[in-house]
Amino acid sequence: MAGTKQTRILFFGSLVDSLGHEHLLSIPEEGWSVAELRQALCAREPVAGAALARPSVRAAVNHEIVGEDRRVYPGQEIAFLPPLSGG
Amino acid sequence: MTVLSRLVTTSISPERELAELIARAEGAGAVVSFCGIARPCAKSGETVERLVLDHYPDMTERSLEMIAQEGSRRFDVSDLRVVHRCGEIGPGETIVFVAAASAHRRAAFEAADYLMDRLKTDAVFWKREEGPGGSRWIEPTEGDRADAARWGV
Repeated sequence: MAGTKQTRILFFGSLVDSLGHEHLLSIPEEGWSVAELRQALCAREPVAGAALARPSVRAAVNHEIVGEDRRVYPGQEIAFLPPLSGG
Repeated sequence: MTVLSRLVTTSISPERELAELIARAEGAGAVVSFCGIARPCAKSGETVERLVLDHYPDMTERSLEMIAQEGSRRFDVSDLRVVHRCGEIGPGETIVFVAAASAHRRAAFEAADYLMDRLKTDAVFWKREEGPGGSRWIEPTEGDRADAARWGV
């Protein structure tokens, strides 16, 4: 859509191997659910996107882990996080 | 009470961290500390030349602070310290240091145990082993999840 702000989607851990560190995506002004965002990314990167489809990969919006029903909007900081392995 | 959490990119000196905590912990009768150290071999037996810890700037620091603060609320401790490294870590180097001071030993032991179990499941890092055989991302284990579940989290 003309004039739509591109939103940065960040990837971490093993997701970087297949998706890189970030994608730019146009999210509509009315927003998407996290589930819809995943689908859009998988459609764009069908092979790499398989890694994103795992339920153990969680989404974070502005540094807060959120569920699949949360709506995301243009300009937010959105990240996909594989299972954590610190400590 | 002093609750300190830090993300560092350079080597951790457990001796210095422990000395600082002891110096601050006036009135404490017990101090317990733990170091997580990079092993030279993977579980498979393959040589590990380095660990690489990926992190999410700001979110990682906040996760360390959250875990430390929850530890301070949960246990009767006077001082807590969590220091976690990110980036490249060589075999034998310290990945994470935790320490707790309290009047009596039970709270200090339990707080240190709790902090490590929480760090294993809730600290925002992703660990990769690199060696002659290639590189492999580490996944959390059922054991890690069971350990965290002991605390009702």
